[in-house]
Amino acid sequence: MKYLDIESFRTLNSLLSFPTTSGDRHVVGRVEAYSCKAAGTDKKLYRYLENKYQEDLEEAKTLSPEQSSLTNIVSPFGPLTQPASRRTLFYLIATLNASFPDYDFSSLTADQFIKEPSTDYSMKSVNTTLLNVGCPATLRTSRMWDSIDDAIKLDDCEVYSYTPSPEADPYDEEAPVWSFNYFFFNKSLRRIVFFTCRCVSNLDELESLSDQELVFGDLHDDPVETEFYPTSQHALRGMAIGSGSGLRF
Amino acid sequence: MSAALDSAIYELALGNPNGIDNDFLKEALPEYPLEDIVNGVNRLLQNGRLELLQMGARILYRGVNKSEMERMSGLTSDEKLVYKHIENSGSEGIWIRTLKQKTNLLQGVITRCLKGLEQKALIKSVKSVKHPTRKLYMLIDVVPSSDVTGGPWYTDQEMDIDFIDQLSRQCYQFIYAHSFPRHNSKAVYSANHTGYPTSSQIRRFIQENRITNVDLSTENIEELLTMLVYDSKIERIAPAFDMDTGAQFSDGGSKSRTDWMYRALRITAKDSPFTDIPCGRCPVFDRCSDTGPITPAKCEYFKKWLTF
Repeated sequence: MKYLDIESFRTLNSLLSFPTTSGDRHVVGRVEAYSCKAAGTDKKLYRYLENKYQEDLEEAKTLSPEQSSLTNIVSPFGPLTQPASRRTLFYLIATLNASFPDYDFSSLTADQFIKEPSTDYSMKSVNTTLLNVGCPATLRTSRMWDSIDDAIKLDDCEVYSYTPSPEADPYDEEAPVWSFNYFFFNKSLRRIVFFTCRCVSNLDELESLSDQELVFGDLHDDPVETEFYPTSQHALRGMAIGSGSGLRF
Repeated sequence: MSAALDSAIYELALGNPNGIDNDFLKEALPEYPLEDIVNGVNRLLQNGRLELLQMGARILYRGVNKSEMERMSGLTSDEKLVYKHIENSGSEGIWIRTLKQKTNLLQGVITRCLKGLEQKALIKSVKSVKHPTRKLYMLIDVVPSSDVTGGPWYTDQEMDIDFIDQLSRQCYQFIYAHSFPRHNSKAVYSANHTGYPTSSQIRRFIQENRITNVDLSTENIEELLTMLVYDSKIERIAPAFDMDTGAQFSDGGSKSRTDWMYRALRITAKDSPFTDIPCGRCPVFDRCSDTGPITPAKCEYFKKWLTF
């Protein structure tokens, strides 16, 4: 998957990091555009997935239909017997691999993805989530969906989301309060826009403290540095400018 | 002249695989002034025959043997750094993110180093059952630990549930057979009975009857038994004690390990409070109230129930 550097996305991504109104958490998200053009590693991944599918097919012949994993998996991409469905799964896995370079998602199966009912539905869901948590005015007025539409023509997209099990979650280290991963897939343009976002508690620095430190407080002389310094001022600033904006922003 | 000193230092280092330090060298080579020794050490460090280790605040030198040197000779300094970290991770492997944090190298540099090391067949990528999506690396000839592979309970990163089920059922049946006296179905053994099976006895039973081809250690068996304990199928009993002498009655074989014994639990019917209280079965429940002829204060069923 080839990463497409889009100017408006760069601005968007800097806006997608903000503290929540509650002040004790911050939201970190990013939007990335990829072209489905196969790079070298992608071809390897595709061959690997196809091989795995063939092996499953062989195994399924020896098992009864109930036992075989092939028939049991409910695929949101259409029946996996069709190469087009498998190709969609391949694109999503390749996107995840590209977006999270420390991870390898080639072991994922189709049933770990969900097909969203419509683009509108996903957009509303993202908007509600971000608004509820106090997204700043700058983001609200950024015309985020317009930028995404420019890149991917939302009307022609299928939308999928990845809801990982705890072991396969790329955010498992941070233990976020919530996270979402949306794929906007335009088949004719052969492009995917990947929108991933998570809400992390500022108290996660507690996780790295030993039991002694938890009880006796920070034993170091320097304060523990966190990426963000959410103060009530920050939160107030976000709320003060502009209000009453519509859901589409 | 320096060559003789260098090889002397090198030999000493090879002879002490845990590392040597400056004081050791001073004692071992009293005929040489410290300055010469230090220069020799620096020369050896430079041509890769000596390696620097740090243990807390101490600095040690370790001799690098020939095969290691050959392996490391073709590597760039970045690759060497990455290789060292991977080597230190042993059989647990190291995650690429940890590698990045420890070496402070950029993503692209690390990817290139890993690719180079993989092509030279020095490292391999592995998958852990605990984090199946993380990219883990270890040295090519290292056997992954059971933490990473899941041990006998996992086949190809998937939990072999059938295997675990069958095996634990066999263990349970063996324990059950030794938990209660045979002649009387309702009898139990007395409190100081020591004939309950221990984990080593259970393991021997599994091995002798060839229940499985897989080689299982006592720890593996104990993992199964712990699972059964949490499922409330068996209980763990402390080994018997002789109160006067403090000696333990063991099964004669093991002396130092705490040989826990295992006993099957007879599953008792779970009584719900609703069936226990007479009200659950009372024929005049609907007409019962605080006042009137039918009231809990005057209830016959309660009287009977409360007399135990």
